[in-house]
Amino acid sequence: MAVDLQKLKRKMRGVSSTRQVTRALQMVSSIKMRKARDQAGQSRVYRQYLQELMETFETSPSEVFPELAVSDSGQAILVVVFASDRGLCGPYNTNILHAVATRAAEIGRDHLDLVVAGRKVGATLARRGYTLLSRGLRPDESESELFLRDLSRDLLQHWQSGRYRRVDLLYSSLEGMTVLKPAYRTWLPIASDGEGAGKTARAGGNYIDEPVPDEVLRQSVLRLLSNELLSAYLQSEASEQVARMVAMDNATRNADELFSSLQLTYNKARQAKITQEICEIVSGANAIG
Amino acid sequence: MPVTLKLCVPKRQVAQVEAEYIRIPSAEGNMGVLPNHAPLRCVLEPGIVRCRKADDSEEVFAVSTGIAMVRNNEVVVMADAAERGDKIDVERAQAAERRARERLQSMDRSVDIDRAEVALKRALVRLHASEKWRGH
Repeated sequence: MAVDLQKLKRKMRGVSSTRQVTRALQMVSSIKMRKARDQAGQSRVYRQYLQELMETFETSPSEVFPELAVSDSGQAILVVVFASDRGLCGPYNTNILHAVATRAAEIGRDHLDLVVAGRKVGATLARRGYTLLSRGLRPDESESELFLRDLSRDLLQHWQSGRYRRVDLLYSSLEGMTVLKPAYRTWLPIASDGEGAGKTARAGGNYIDEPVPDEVLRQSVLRLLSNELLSAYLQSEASEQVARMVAMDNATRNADELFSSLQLTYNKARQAKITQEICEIVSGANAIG
Repeated sequence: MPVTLKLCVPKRQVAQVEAEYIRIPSAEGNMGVLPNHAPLRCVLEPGIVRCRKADDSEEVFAVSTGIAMVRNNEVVVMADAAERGDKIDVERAQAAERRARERLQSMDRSVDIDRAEVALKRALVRLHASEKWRGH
């Protein structure tokens, strides 16, 4: 009986220290989440203006960038996966893994190449035998500029190899406050019509262009491409923090529950032990008396 | 009627200023925008964006490359990087200038001349913008 009590006590201590850790993680990620979400929101201004600018062009982007337009030679699809470097964020990474698996089932593994930013998911995908052109960390926001520039350069190089008919971005996006959803977006080929770019100019067009219309369009398309990467990156960053905050909140609550049920068992056992001892003493006394 | 400058970089909006006159560093040289300017799209070079406000005071920004559009008395500047004149770290800009000059003067063949020149230009623009700011 006494051994049981000690065991219970130790378990309670364990649960309570785990709870401390999960609570701390939850608070850290809630601060990080606010920052990441704020950043994602602030970046929308530029994006909005850029899209408005794209709508003013009469020429479609594929005319100034024939090399980035639909290619006939390519068979495969290149998917850029944005996920997290660390675990403990609930279904965040598994959702992405599922999405990759679904895509692989659709088009066949031989036709799917991956570029992965995010250590956790990179390791798992490599183990599962996917073709990874590169995998690495998804760096912090402060270092994201350099990272995204390199990424964009690498992707364009892969595109020029002629092996691909599409480059897609896969990341986790936020829907509402806490709902995460894997999102796909086509990065290349650039839209030849519809989808914001290349639509007929709106009324009141007639823009003066410096130096020439095609050059302005070229520069805009380049920026749109890097902005797509930035947007996917920021979304995945913000949703990671949300996922971790929710996961850690749940973990803390579970620990609370576990702790109180252990407490109950412990108290019962202790009470039972005392009662038993009293019984023994009383019956012992009676026997003597 | 004033012209509004909306200056943003990919990650955020840097400033929104109402002004009487705005000058932007287009690829074809500096370009002034007064109220009721015709619609315009242009490529930007590293340079200085100046806004003269109604009370004759000025605001100065250093911008790197980018694109801009003018429409409905709005100047939307989408710069790859931008800083307000008073926020520029002069020492860092000077260091960048020195580095770029050294690279340009060295005989090393591995130096990317184009990149060094752009870096030099950027540094000079930032220094210039910061001087402009302190000038009044």
